[in-house]
Amino acid sequence: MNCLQCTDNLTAYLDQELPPGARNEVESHLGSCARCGDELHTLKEAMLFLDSHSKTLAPGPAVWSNVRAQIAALPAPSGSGAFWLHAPLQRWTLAGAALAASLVLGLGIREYLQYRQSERDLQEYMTQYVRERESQELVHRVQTAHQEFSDNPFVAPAEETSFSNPFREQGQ
Amino acid sequence: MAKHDSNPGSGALDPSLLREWIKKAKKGDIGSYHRLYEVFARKVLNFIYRMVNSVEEAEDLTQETFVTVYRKLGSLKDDAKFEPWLFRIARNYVYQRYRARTPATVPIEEPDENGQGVTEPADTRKNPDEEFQAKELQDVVQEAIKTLPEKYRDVFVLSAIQRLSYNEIAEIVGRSLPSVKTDIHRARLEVRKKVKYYLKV
Repeated sequence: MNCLQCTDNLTAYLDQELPPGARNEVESHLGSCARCGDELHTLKEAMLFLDSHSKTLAPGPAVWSNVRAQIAALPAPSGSGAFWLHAPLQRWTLAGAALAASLVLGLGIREYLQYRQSERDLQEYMTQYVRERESQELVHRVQTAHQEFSDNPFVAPAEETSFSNPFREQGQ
Repeated sequence: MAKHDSNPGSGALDPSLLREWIKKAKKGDIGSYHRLYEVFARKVLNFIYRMVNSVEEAEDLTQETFVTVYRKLGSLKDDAKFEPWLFRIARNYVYQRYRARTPATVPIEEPDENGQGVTEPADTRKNPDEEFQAKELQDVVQEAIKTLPEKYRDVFVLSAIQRLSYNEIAEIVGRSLPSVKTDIHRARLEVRKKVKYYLKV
């Protein structure tokens, strides 16, 4: 063990936290190294200083009185069975919580179903609307097809012949 | 109000007695819980005090810790781990308080809201000069702890002041044993640096 390894272990050595093997190595190094011995000595002195001059407090009586007042109102930390069987207050709290949870869940499901229904209605309306618009567009295009090139001077106006429109009745 | 006490330790405690009190306290026996409180309240108070540097806050948090410990006692599976579990809860309160305010700036010697200083029972064994010097040295120790980096402070207090084992400390702070060992050593070096001048006094 070198000096660095030794000094790294000195606090644990003082606290008796080293396993026997490491402890023996530290002791063996300390036996032959005055510098590490001094290091140990000053660390020990500092800890003794702390021990001698640490202010130690004791809790005043009010602390326990307050703790007691608060825990007296609490149920036992653990009973022989499920805690709600032994604590009427908690049993009612639990029942209330279950009821509230059911209500929230029920409302949530209803909202969701309503949302889905309105989604379907909207979809249906949009499909119907698009269909109507397409058919109107088609009718419009058919009706205005012959005017498409009427304003173009380079295109001669189409002569309407009796056979140009197979769907038109003769004489119309 | 907390008093200064010259007997910090809880002494050797019979583990079977401790387990019996925990068992009874779990069933709601407040008398047994009071015994647990008597054993550990002082340690918890001093741990918190060194972390928050204010007696009043330390008492408030000790109170909250013991109420929470009672409330959650049923969830403690291994009764032998009561002490680290208790300190873990106390530490959580300390860190909650850290988050809720700027770093501790109210030393205990400052007057309280009534203009009165925290009363400290006079030590009849000391004359006024000795008492003054003792108080000054206590301030030096508290200042050395207070100015430690937050990361080192809790492991230092738990090891040097509360005398908990490294394993228990690792369990309380939720870090690995080697990391705790390193931080304790670094904290001791820091503290030594801060009190070095007084070691010759």
